[in-house]
Amino acid sequence: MIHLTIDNQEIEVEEGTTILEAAQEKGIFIPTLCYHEALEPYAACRLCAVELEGKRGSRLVASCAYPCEEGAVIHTDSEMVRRSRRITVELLMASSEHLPLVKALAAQLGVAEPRFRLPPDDCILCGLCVRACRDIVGIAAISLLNRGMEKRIGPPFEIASNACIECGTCVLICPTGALKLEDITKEEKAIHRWGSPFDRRPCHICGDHDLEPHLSLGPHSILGEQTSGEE
Amino acid sequence: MKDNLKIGLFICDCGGEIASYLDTEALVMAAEQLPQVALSQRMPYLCSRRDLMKLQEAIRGAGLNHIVVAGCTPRTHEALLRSACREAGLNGHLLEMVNIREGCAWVHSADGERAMAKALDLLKAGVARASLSEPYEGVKVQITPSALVIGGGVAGMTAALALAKRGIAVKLVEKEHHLGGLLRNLHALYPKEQRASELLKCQIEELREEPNVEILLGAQVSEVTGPVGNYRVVVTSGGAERAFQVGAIIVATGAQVQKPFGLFRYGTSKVITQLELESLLAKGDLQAEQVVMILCAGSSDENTYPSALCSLTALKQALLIKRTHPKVRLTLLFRDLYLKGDNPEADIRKAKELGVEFIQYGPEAEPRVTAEGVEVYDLLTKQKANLPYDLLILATPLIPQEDVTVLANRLKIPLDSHGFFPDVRLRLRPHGYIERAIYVCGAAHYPSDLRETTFQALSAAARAFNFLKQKQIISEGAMAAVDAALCTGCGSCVEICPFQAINLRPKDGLLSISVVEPTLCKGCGLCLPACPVKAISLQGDSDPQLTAQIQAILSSEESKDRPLILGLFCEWSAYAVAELAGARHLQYPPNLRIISLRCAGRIDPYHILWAFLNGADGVLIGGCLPGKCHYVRGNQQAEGRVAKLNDALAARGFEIERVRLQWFQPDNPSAFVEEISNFVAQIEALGPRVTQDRRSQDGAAEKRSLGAR
Repeated sequence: MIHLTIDNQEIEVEEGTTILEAAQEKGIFIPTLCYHEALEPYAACRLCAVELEGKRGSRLVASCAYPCEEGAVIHTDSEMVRRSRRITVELLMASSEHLPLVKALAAQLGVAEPRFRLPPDDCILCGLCVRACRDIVGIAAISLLNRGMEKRIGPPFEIASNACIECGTCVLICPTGALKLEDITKEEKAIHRWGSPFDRRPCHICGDHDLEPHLSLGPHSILGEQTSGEE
Repeated sequence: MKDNLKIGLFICDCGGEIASYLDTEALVMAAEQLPQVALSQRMPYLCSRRDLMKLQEAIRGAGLNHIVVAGCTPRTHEALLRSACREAGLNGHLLEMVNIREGCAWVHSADGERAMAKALDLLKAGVARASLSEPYEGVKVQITPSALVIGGGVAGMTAALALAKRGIAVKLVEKEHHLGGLLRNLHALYPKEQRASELLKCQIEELREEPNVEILLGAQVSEVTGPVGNYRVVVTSGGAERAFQVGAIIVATGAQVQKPFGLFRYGTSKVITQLELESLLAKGDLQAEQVVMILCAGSSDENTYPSALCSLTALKQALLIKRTHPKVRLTLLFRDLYLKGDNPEADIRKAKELGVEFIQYGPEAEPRVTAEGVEVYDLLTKQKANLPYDLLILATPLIPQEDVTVLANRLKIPLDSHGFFPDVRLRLRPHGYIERAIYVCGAAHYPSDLRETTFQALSAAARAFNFLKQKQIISEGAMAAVDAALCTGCGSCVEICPFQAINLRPKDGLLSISVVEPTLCKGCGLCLPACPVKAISLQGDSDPQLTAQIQAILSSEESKDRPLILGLFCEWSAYAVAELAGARHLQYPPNLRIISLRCAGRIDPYHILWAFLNGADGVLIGGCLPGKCHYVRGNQQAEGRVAKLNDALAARGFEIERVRLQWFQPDNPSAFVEEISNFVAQIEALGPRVTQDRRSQDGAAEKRSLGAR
């Protein structure tokens, strides 16, 4: 058993328990977004950050993934924590201010107006759908595409997924209702446009030949040149 | 009811998510009154580590042999709870989940009292179902670690080599007396103009040296039987039969070039196909000054598979002819140029630089071939041209081999409308069924060029290897079984099974009986209602369980919830969207009691009647949209059965508006709520089916007569 202090409460937990689990047992509320009981901790949203006192000063750790340590002193609602969460929520608000979920968080933490603006987007990139598909269903039909500002959710290469079994677990688990099944299975997406940046080859591993499009060259790309050459 | 039944009921507060809408304490008290329940307990956060441990302690300590968990959706949490049960020594199939969160608390948050009544009904149904559940280990298969490759063309050889190099014993069956398939007839390969014969020679040599590969030439697969993972294959060659066992099968039977007899003067000396030109080029025997190529020859109908192959071949051949015979006048007539590859435009440009003429014709005016020339209407210049020729090359499509249907029947795999083997991807949870381990590659799949064929062959080999290396697979899904004592051998189930898992076997010489092949069964339950003598049972999801569930879920004694409506919902569509409506906190009338089923096709008309006998005022059956059934045709089956039932009911003066079959989109919760509200309003307008008094009297009599069944 491990002993620690969360918000001045002495707590005794099993080894391997995370800070979030320990807090939940005591009824201490820590907000979360990307956390799900049926999935491994992901520590992506940083909303569950808590303050962990240490010899060289305090630091923030993601409580969903950080295991309880003997003698640890943790604050879940200190100024440091609130400040971190306010910034996290402010960043979320940049593109998703319209979502009830984000609105509620903003109201809770007292963030009125974000300093940043991005085009509105329902998806907050918590990755729950991706992880549920992979770890609960066992399929991995969707993934996180691209990086940084371009990051979004979709089937690999944004081509209608052949692997998707349409069980709807991703849609169910999505906290914001951003995902629809047709985003994954919609047929039109199977067609690559001319000039697509991908080098199209069938996959060595899965043989998904959807990657190999049938491209039609319009007559003008061939004959247009020819006629202009003759003139 | 079993004697030693000890059901443990756990009701989750879900950290307030349920407890703030439903009085879980009152539910625990009410559940304690149920006769089968040995332990009823409230859990603050069942999926937390601490509460899971408490659950396990209760299983071990109180000797519980069935668990009912009332909480959230099984779709996300069932695996977690099942493994916890297993750790505590309880078979995973003895866990039953009742969704009172998305299924009750969240959707009826405005009507606490009725929500409580409904929650209790759901609990009762869960307990009724659990009390009849049996431990079930699933299907275990030991895999024979060897593979059969059908077809010794480039696809088959590549796949066989790839598997052999990974240490798998491979039998390669080729119907001709030599390896190589279509590649034998090709001259140079696109785009690098490598000689096909050289490539083939290397590959055959490598294959012959590979100790893991056994090549059977002049042989044909005449029989494939047995369970998945241990197929028994019989191969005939020259009258002799050989039988062996394999774990996986790769189909690489290739395709053939269509010979356009009767079209474009094919058959006369000056008109040949692309493939025949290849051998001319290989011989270096091209004697012509005016060459015309016609693309998409004879493939004007929609039925031919759209393929990039002829266009690529034509381009390759044009370049080759122009390089070796620069004086030849070459005209290429095309309707569409389907090109792919690294940089096909560069090749077109090159061809034009070399003097190849491109003329596009329209689909309504195909080129006309006479002895003197080819008449074509040029779409671009809008003029007729007459091209003299002394060699006319027809680009004809690749079509499936003649005997594909025979092979498809033997392997029990489908063909697409063109006669190629499609990629079959089942939309089922991977842990619930066993994969067939039959993989298709190359031109048997669809017309593909060499590069694509090679990729496909490698991928088929990789997938086969991944399957074979498991050595043993376990499927936990439900499975049908036929009671041999009851079966009359009528064959209804054989016809209905979408996965060809049921076969008729002779019994006592005269009779035959149905036998389910467990490794092919996907547990959809479509065969259950089809059986006229009810000889089929579904392990893990039995009929008595379903009837007990229906009875319990309608047992509400409160008259407040009249009309009482039973929803028999397919888990992939209607049930999924019902849960989604819950997750979005949408509200619908609490009159609806939902039972989740594998497929709408699982529903027997008897279940619907049973629901009415037990006091339902309406029955709503929810299934997948047409063409979307995860078990191929379960929704069609349901539609047919409901229509028949309605006819019978209408003939007896029953208000058939009380039964409705509805297709649901799995991700449109607002449409779902609208449909539910509509149906509830419709039943409300009809009023309760019978008065309370009559219901109990008549019901008892009807039940007695039904019990005699």
